[in-house]
Amino acid sequence: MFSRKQNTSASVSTDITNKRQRYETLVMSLHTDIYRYAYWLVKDKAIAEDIVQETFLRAWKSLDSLKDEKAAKSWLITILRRENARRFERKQFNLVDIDDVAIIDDKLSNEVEIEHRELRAIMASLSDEYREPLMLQIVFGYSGDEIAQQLHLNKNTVMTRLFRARNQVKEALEKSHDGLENING
Amino acid sequence: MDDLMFRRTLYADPDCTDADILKAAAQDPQKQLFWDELKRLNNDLLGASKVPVPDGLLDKLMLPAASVTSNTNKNKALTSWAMAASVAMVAGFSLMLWQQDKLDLTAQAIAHVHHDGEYALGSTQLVSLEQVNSQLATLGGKLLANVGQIYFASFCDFEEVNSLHLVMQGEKGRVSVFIVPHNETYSGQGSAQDEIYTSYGADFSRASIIVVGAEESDITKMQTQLRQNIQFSA
Repeated sequence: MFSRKQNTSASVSTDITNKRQRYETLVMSLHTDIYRYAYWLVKDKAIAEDIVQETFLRAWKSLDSLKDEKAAKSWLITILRRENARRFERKQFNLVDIDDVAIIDDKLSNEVEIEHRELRAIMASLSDEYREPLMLQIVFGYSGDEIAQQLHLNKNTVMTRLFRARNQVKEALEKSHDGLENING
Repeated sequence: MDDLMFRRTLYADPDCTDADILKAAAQDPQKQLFWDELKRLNNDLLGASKVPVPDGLLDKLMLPAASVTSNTNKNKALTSWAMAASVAMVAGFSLMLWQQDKLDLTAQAIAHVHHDGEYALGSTQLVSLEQVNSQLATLGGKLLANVGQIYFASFCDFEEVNSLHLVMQGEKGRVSVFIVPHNETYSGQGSAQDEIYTSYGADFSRASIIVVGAEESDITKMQTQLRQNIQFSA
């Protein structure tokens, strides 16, 4: 009996080690993209960080329900979107102003960063229904089909939203450049 | 294919590989030009989407696992918490000014491994812990225990930053480890992947450690072992 008990506890500890290993692999390989996606979902650094922590905590707790590591990305995105929705149930946060979003680049040192700053403000100004599929495509490299599946939309809707999102980005860029030319001219 | 359809399809997916699109672009320089511009815009969007990840986030995410694993050994759990917390704090303070939009070194690390090829990865030298530590000392670091056989240890120019390049034995295969001192223009945190290699980078108090290998489990194990066994002087 004694030895049997020992075996059980040894196998439990191996299970936990394996689980931890799985969890750490998830964290290391996906936390950067998940954080960035969260950031673009909520447009606020601190809230994004909170949601990412809650997402991974929940992922740790229910890791056994993830059967295939290949599905990990979409599984985490689903948890993250649910955590974000929960946040609205708890409390209606004030929407972040675009000017606040620009704070993220407080150390501008070159042209690329200035360009990025402008693009970030434009990306943040897109409505959620356009920004979310666009960020799934850009941050995770998702295809139209994958985005449709993740967001429970049909593919045509997704493609239309992606089209409109880029169209709006382009128009906003052209508008701001025209504005600059007018000032210069 | 008419122009509207062409533009619409590519606006929705600039990386589209549809045969009709490719053909239309090949036949019409104007269409090709439009596509090139769009790819550039998409590349800029990708760059702009990469907002800096908060310092210490990785450590915060690792905590729940540490606490659960050690429920049979409370002291160990406490030590892990304390160590992780102090690492997070040190990292937080020392990296406060080092968090802006920087180039990602993890992809560079993969390119470096390809470039060095068998010269580094196939090395048959057996490098001792003392030898590595004498090199690591110049970066303010110390390896407290052997975390696997070391086959190669050499300083290399890593994006103009003098860094230590190690080749070590993982469980399934060899892994390359880059210890890159912090620099204002680069970030070692993140991950990258190509057909052969995956790389993970994590920031420590004075340097980033980037591990590159073909087997994911080898990489995460090595990162964890290094995290536990490497110390940087403040």
